[in-house]
Amino acid sequence: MNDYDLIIGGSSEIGLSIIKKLAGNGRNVLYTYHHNASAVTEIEAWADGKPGRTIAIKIDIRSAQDVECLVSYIASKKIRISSLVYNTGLTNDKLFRMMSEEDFNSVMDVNLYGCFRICKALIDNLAVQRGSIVFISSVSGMTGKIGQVNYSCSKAGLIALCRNLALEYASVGLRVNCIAPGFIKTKMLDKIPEENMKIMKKNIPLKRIGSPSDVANAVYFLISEESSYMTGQTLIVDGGLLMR
Amino acid sequence: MKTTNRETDRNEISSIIAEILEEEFVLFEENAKLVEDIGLDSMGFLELAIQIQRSFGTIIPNEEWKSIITIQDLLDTIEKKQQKDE
Repeated sequence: MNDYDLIIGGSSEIGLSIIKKLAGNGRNVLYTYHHNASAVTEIEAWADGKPGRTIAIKIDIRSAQDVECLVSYIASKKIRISSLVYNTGLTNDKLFRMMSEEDFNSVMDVNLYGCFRICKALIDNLAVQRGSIVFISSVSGMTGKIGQVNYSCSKAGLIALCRNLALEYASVGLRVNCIAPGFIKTKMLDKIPEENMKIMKKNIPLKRIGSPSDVANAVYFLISEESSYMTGQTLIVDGGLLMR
Repeated sequence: MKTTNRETDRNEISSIIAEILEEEFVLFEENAKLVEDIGLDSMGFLELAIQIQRSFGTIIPNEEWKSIITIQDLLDTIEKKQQKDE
């Protein structure tokens, strides 16, 4: 079997958790990373003896040439991509009045345009496999947040991209869904002062910050046959935060 | 590798198109035009491209679809690609 799940952005905490969830359950995973080589070492050590195989590829999703190289690699190894998870993203928070067009575009380029690039390159292959696509969006894409115009727009864009692709490709059996995580315990949250974290936790109905595995579990569900009647949806994984 | 028999391929394509259009099977003549005579729209072409890849293992890039007007053009393209792969 040469079927693989492709994770774009595998070296973040959420990415690692997704890879472990999938490969730990016998799925083969091809994942990309940009500069975090230590995460690749961690996965290599972890993956030894696990039921699913893992392959790491270094790419910069902002580069059309890198995306082309990834597609060529997939073709040369006769890999069939059965699902795509777009998990890469960055923040560059600033109040709108301080945000330059460059600040805006730098976030959009990775979080949204990169997703467009990879989908454009692989969507027909995924459709032929009757595959599944999952975008990791954010609750920030569904609400406003001070200082996150660029991030919020990019994540809202992913939700819109998901709905449109879901509609266009439903007739050929390709499913496209989104996950909108709330506060997840990652390095991104380390920047938030302890006092603010306490207030945040109080506001979450389930009274805890989510873990990367909460997101990985949702990914596993959305790429599996268990969700075969779902497309164009955004699964909110936020401990109930958006209900408030 | 699937058969390259032209009649069988024409039958297969007609069957794919019937499924896309959700209509009764009709064996299309080679000179039938995909848009004017058969009524495929852009979504129909998307489905046709994917189904041809599934049935024949043949990838027809977007830019090549512009010059595929008839069933004959489509059969020629598939044949050429299959010969190239052999």
